[in-house]
This record gives sequence, C-alpha cells and structure tokens, in this order.
Amino acid sequence: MKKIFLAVVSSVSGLLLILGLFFPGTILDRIRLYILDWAIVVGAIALAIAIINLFSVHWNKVFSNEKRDYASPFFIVGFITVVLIGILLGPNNQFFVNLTSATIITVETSLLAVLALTLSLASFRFFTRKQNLLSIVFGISSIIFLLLFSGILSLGENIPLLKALNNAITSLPIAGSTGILIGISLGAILTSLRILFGFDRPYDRK
Amino acid sequence: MSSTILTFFLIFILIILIAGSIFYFSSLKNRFEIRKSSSLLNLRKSIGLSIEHGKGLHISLGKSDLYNIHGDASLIGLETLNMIIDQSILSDNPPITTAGSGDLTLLAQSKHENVLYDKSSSTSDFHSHAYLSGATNLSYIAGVIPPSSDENLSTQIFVGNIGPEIGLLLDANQKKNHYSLPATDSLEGQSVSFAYSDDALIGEEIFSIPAQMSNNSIFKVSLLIQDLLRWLVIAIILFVLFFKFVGLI
Repeated sequence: MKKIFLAVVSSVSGLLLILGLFFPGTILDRIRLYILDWAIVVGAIALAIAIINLFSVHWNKVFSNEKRDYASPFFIVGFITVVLIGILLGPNNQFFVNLTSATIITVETSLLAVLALTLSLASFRFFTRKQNLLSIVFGISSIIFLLLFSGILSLGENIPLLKALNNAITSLPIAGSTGILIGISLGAILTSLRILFGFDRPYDRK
Repeated sequence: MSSTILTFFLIFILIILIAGSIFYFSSLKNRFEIRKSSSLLNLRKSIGLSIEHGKGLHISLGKSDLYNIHGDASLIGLETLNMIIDQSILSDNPPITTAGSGDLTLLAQSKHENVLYDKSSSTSDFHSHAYLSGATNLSYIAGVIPPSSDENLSTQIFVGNIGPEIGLLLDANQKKNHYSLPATDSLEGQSVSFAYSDDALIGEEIFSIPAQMSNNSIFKVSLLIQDLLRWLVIAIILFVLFFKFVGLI
C-alpha cells in the first residue's frame, strides 16, 4: 500500500510539473511553481540532515578504535568554529565571509592545481598505456586542437582559404560534443519518463 | 518556452509512449539483443571478486541534486547503487556510498538501512555506510578521496554527475590498483575518464547501466527506444542537411 502511494504521489507530481509547462498562466502553472518551491525546501532540509550525519560520521571516527581517521578531528573543529562564528556574528558579517571564503578558496585552488598537474601527467601516460586506433585519434586530435585554440592559425586570418579551414576545424569539437549531448539528452528524457510513469522507482528502498 | 518547442516536445513524448507500448506489449522486443558492455561485464566480475576476497566496494553518486538538470544521472546512480547493493548482500563488507547532495545521501542511506534490516544485522550503523562528502564540486571530491583510498577496497564505481575533477579519484585508484568504473554525464568528466580508464562509459552509455545489470524488460524497452530515437534524430539531421544542400531551406 505504502509503495503504491509513493509511486502515485511521485507520478502525479511529475505529471503536474509537465502539465504546468504546457499550460502557462493557468492554475497548473501555479501548482508547478509551488511543487518546485517545495522540492527546493525539501532539498535544503535533506542537505541539513546530511550535514549533521556527516558530522556524526566524523565524530564516530574520532572516538572509535576501529576506523580512526586523523582528518576527522580537523573536520569537527573546523565545522564547530564556522557554525559558532556564523551564529554569533551572522552570515553577512565581513569577518565571517572572509574566514569562510579564504578557507574554501585556498583549499579549492590547491585541489585545482593538483588536478592540473595530474591531468598533464595523465596525458603523457595515456600514450604509453593505450595503443589502439581510438586512443591515437584521441591523442592526435587533442594536440591539434590545443595548437588551434592557442591561436596559431589566426596569423593567416587574411588568407580566405586558411580562415575557412580554421573555422571548419574549430567547429568539429562543437559538432562532436553536440552529438554526445543529443545522446545524453535522449537517455535523460527516457529515464525521466520511466520514473514519471512509475515503471522505475530508484527512490524506493526495495 | 515557445509553443512550437512545446508542441515538438509533446510529439516527442507521444512517439516515445507509443513506441514504448508497442515494444513492451509485443514480442518485438525479443527480436533485439542488447550488446553487452565490456565495462559492465568487468564491473560484475570485479564485484564478484570483491565479495569472494572480502574486500570492500565504494560507490560515489556524483554531486547533482535530484531536482536539477543533471538529476537523471543521479537517479541512474541511485538505480545502480540499488542493484550493486542487492548483488553484494552476501559480502561481509557492506559497500560505502558517498554523494555530493543531501537528497541523494538520504535515499542511499535508506537503501543501506533496508539491506541491514534484511540481513537481520545486529548493527544499525547504516549512517556511516552512506554519507555526504561535500556540497560543492571540489569539496565533494576532497570528501571522496579519504574513503576511496582505503586499502581494504578493490572496486570503485563513480556514477552520476562528476566533472573533470574525477581525474583526481581515478589517478588515486590507478596507483592503488583498484578497479574503477567511471560513468558521468559531464562531457569534461567523460574525456578525463577516457584518458584514465579503459572502462569509462562514454556518451549516453551511462543510461544503459540499468538495462545491462538487470533483466527487467522495462529497461530493455527503454534502451531500444533510446536507440530508435537516436536513428530518428540522425535521419532528421541528414534530411535537413540534404534540403539545405539542394536549396529548399
């Protein structure tokens, strides 16, 4: 019974969202906006619960003998510090904004730097690891487009043939990515419809 | 949205529903075989070996909420999680799940709770089996790195919306000799995955995971319609190109 109720509620909500899209300015459109607002509120509450759960996971890691993680105390101290300062000074306080953004930006920039280095190394290792036709095409095209996007052919922009060639080659990645995106969109539409009509219920625990 | 686009969208949905009904209720679907993906065969093998050797599994569901544009990839991640948990129910080591969104985390937790309940396990610690790793792109990755570098793991699956930062995880996995299956709907994530892994799922292959891992006919029908629509789109592009070439458009 509970399962049927869950499937009916999700299907009806999904159908109301789609109908609201087809009939703008009507009551269905207003219902669509209400449902979207509810979804955002529920999402925010879910995020708050998940953050509390993350805190409890790290708390257990600090005080358990089995899965002790040395990063967990840092997380707990950082979390409590940020929450307390945020509550005491308010989220718009300049000190609070500077403290959080300085921490986040520093850590994320370091990760991006590591990512850039890792990707450069991966591109070198790629040729030694994979030696099939697809990999060769992938590697050669990466080099060609790196050169093209660096503006090496822009020197000959006054020559019509070179300009046409440059335009044709630079449109190739756009064509390729559009093709992949069409495929992804088709997959996404079918997944949505499957869930909308209740044929597939990944949100159901059984 | 303009009425022309909405009309096309409606026609599109109707085509899908009609084709779906024909395939589902007739024996036509049995005439087509789904080509088995070598990546997913390797995944099944790796899950089997993990259970046999008592090693752990790590599933990461990406960073997208269910209600935004990448929500479909997250739902596929959730579907994959359900199937993998069902397969690994006999394992001594329950899989660890990480997600970058609150709603995905709670849904993953409810699945873990259910499995523990089915196994009549004495522990009710399902909260530590599925947790939020971070709410932004890079904090999500930073949060996934510690569980993915566990020595006791042998298989890692990344299904959902993950950008090029997936490279950090795949690089760490390669060094530890873990089997990893990257499947993301992000183009940048796919290109980085291709450079790192032999089993990366490219393009719409992420949406074929349920059909590859389950015998449910609805997934097969869905995949058949996806293929049918792809051919339809190709035909439309070729027709438009032809008409443009002869000067009719």
